[in-house]
Amino acid sequence: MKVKSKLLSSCQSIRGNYRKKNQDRALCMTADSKGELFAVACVCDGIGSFEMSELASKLVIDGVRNWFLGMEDRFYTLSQQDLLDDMEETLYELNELVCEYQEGHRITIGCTMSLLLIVGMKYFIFHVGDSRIYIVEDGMYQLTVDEVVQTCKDGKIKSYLSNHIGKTRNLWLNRSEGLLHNGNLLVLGTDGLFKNLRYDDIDVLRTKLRSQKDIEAVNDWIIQLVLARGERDNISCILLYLL
Amino acid sequence: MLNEVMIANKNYASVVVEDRKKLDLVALKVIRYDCPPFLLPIHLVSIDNEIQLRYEILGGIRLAYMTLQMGKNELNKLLNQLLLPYVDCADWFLDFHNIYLDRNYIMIDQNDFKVKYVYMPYGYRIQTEEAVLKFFCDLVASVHLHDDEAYIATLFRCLIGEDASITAFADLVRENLKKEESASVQMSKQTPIMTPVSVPAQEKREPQSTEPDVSKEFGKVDLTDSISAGLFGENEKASNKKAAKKEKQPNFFGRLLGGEKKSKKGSFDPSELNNKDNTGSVKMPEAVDNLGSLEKLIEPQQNFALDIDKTEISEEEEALSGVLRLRLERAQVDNIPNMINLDLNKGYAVIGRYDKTGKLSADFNFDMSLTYIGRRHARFELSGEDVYIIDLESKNHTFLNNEELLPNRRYLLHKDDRIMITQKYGIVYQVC
Repeated sequence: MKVKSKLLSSCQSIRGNYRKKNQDRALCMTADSKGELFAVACVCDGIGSFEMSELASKLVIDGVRNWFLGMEDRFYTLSQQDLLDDMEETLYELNELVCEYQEGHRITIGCTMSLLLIVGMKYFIFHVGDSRIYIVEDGMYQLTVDEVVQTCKDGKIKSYLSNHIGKTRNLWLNRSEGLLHNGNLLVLGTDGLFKNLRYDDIDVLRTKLRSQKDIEAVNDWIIQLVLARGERDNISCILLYLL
Repeated sequence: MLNEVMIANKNYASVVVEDRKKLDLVALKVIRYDCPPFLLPIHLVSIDNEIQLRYEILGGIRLAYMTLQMGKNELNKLLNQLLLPYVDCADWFLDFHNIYLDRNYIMIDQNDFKVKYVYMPYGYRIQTEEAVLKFFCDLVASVHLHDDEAYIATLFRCLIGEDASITAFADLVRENLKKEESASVQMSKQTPIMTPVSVPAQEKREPQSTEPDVSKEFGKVDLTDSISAGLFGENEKASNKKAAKKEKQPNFFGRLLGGEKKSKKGSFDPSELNNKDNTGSVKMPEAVDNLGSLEKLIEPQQNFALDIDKTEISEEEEALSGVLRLRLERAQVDNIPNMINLDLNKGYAVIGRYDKTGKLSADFNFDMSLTYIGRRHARFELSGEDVYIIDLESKNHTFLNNEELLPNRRYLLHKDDRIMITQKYGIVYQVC
């Protein structure tokens, strides 16, 4: 028997209190037809050291949005493998577009990307850089691996991004997948969100979700919490809650 | 001079050596065993005592098929790579006069503009330095710079003057390339001077309205230099007019269409919706979806047009004749137009698809959701009275009558030929 699942989602991206502009972009799109879930959630964090990196984030998010709109009507007719291949090809193309943009306009831009694709009760992750995706079940587990290298500079350990969209034309794209269960909460965010978030905050968040079922309010709460702790970066957060 | 042959599914350009005594054996050894990175690999074949040189055509796209619309930096990179062999030749004991200059046999890697030439290992010079300069002159003339048109004039001055030389031209290009690179490094070091922009989160399907318009910020630079305007803008218009005035001869299209000419007032070519909009602006593919219905509407008007006195046909109407028609035979996906009309009046047309951000990539663009069609998938080329199809190194290949096309190779098209654009979607068009 097919169990119908419902997906609550919320997506927010803010400039924060210190940065002049928001270089993050976030997107969450869901379709629910014939009882099968189809959703895509993506966060991109423009690289701050490249001044116009919000353009890279925008290109990627626009591309993912267009891909979803093109797929929405025909994802039932495609096999899962075809769908994933199509997604992968699209991401390679978006990386090429970012590279072409850099060459055409003689600027350096780039962004990280964590993309979550939900098809039925399966999730698929496409990941580049140091944005993160967590799943909350009995605990909170990070599904992505930060692509950073740490070096010692002036006696301090510093982290540098080792991979991002727009770095080279041959993109190194990390992929993983897993199964979803009712009650799972998925959290996507940029580094601005996770630097000041603690594991016990997620317990509070889950309790709030269970009692209120207002995912927008919960997302507001989490962002205000991070801001109150003095976060200086742009903050993006996507919550997906499977009922 | 070179003939193309296909052997074991590989594409070669071959030339017969008339007098084997004239072969430069040192150069031949260098190309075969030391393999200079800027030359195509060579094979020496003896058939019935006749020596044939075969060059394996690989390593990128032919210069002839490259879109020469680029920025100044890209042009400098391309020219630098093209000129590099002329500077480095002597280090390999080769003579730059023997580099074969034909855009069909110059392979360019589209990622880093690495160039591979055909080298003729003869003991005599196959061309003069003037011919080399003329080649670069023609190349520069065919480039459309979208950011600094005046730069073309600078290049011309270096190529046309009395003291013009390849080394001087190479120095100029390299100098400009260095300047560009140092400027871009400085730019990236500068602190951003931007007004704060608050951008709301993208959520569900709501479009972002507060984002800065990319095309406005980095759009085309207006043609302000009067010299370059005089050099290019006016000349280009004049040449277009000349082409339009050219007397029409019965050709491939003439035979296919039975020599009938259409009146522009009475008929409407749906492909124009797609073909003519090359402004780079975002255009969604709705126009393509309406093709079928538009054609039905136009049918009676076309008949009416044929009744008009055919001797009075304007220049604009003449230009409409070079249209290649492809009729859809089958497809496994939706959003495919029933008829594609490719305007070949400029000599070629490229079919592809909208890129994933919704921008035009080719002369005829399929829906952007058809990921497996390349952004620039295949090129149709008019050569005399014949039309050729060329696969532009597409990842998912092009098929002609169920045979996979080798990339970058010209294949002659005939009436009723079937063209499959990727096996994935099974899109088959028939030449009509």
